[in-house]
Amino acid sequence: MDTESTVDGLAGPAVRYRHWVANLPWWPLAILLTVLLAALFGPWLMPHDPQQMNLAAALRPPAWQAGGTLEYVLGTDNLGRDILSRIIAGARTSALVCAYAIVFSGALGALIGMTAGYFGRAVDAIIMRIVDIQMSIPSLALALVLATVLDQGLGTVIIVIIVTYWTWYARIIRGEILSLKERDFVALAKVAGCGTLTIFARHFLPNILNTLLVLATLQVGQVILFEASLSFLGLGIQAPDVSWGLMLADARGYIANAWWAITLPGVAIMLTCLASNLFGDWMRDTFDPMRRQV
Amino acid sequence: MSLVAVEHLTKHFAVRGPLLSRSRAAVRAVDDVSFEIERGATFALVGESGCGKTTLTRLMLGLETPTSGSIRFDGRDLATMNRRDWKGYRRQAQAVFQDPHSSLNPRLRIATILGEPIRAHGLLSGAALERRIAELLDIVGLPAGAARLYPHEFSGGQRQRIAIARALALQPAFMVLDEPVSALDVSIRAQILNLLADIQERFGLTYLVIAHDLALVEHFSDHVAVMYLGNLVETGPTAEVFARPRHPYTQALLAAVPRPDPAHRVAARLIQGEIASALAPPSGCKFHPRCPQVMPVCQTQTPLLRATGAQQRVACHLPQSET
Repeated sequence: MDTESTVDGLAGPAVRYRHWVANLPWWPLAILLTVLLAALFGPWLMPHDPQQMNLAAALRPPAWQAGGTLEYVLGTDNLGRDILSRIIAGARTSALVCAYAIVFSGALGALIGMTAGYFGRAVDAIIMRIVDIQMSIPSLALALVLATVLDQGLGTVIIVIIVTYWTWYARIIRGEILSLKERDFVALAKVAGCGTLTIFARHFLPNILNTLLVLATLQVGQVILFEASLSFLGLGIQAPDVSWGLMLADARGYIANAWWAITLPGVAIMLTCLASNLFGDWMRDTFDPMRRQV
Repeated sequence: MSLVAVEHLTKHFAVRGPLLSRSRAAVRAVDDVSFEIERGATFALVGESGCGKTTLTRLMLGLETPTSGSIRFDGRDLATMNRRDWKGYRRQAQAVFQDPHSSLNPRLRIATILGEPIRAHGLLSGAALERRIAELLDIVGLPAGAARLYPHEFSGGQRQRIAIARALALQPAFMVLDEPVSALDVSIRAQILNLLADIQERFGLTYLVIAHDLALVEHFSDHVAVMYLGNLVETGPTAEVFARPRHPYTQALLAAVPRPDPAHRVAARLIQGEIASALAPPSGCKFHPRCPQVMPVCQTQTPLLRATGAQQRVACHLPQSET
């Protein structure tokens, strides 16, 4: 345990860094980067306008199948819209929803979790009962209510996801704080004259950052899936905006004669979720000190 | 006037029953404890684990509030202090804890750790702060370059030096040392104790040392208080208490110190059994179930501290000769 020379401490990071790179999950990383690039540079990468209808070219199969052309590499849907362009546009939507939903639910959950864990007693009891209540409400039912009350669209999807997921962060961060606040450096910070805000920002936040990153990565897949489900059910993203879930809903009626229109966005959802789950697992194994292999 | 005066200090912790039920029991962690610490002195508090030593330090540092009794620092009662007075007390009273792994935040550089108390009080910033940090590191015998590193890059002894440097950052008058060396290798303990003695002399510090190592107490402190289940059972100048321990518990503690003498035999069965639960302490003298010289009166009456020598006081019903 006790390293009696600083040499051990200096050799450590280099060895760990090599161990890290060797175990990087290349496939998941490549898929996530592709989605990210599509989201960032979508407008320049799309071969067509994703909303442009061309009924003359409706239900064109992908290029490698008989009847397909290179103009529409992944084929077209029932309204003649280019599927590749729409998948790229959908990646943009997914990334946008993920970014907002994860940042806000993570920040909200972490703050509430820190408050509950640090103050304990009544504050903790009240917050955790609210968490319990929130977790027992089916998120789809909540989405239905919110989508009826608020306008349907991107903003509502993000709000629904934040309301659903903050509890997840709050519970785990609260647990971390329960053990963290008993560490001597927190007591000594009080003895030094630091206020609660300083303790949160300087002593708690850096120590829960790993956990937050791991949770956020693991959440990516769930958020994408959730947004797709909401949009598929008509509660989420609305046309003319593009979303993978909406593409599934649009193509549902043509499943018998145009497999590509429903399968390809489905594959996009599946690959992205799988990649982010695998990447999240790797993050957890690498950065969670309890499971870290030294 | 003494720097620290503790009078009838009591801290009870309510033990909570199941949800929504009224609290039933109270742990008497510190029970009617009084002592004074002279300016510049080293006051040692000894006792086995669970006797309330740690609660007492947390009370002294304002991390817990007393159930009753008072702590006066430089003549002022901590309980009557307002926000600004507290800030002043925080500058005066600092602490070094037992475990240097737990007392340094692993995510912060040493410069941030040492600068924290100074910044919390808005004393220095920028280059002046950097100079002060280098100076603090120099006082505890570490190179100035250490400021850039993280706690995990240091050994246990080095970390304890950093913890001491942080405690010194505000130039306090009083320092609580909670088992300052018991987590360290034996080879490093002497260095840390020497460092503590040096800075005490250099800055005129007053120490409250919590310890269970009696050999350390004998060499390091001027005054000693022995604690058992939240009560002080014996207190006095270290030399006097060690030469003539009056309380059977103190006698047993001292007899249990290992001596480098193969012919020495520890008297068998000095005390028996385990320390009683602070939830349901024994009646009368709390030590009576384990005392080898127990008398009927011990089971009913709580003994009070009474003087038996120049400054030595003991809480025991046994007749005390004035020799």
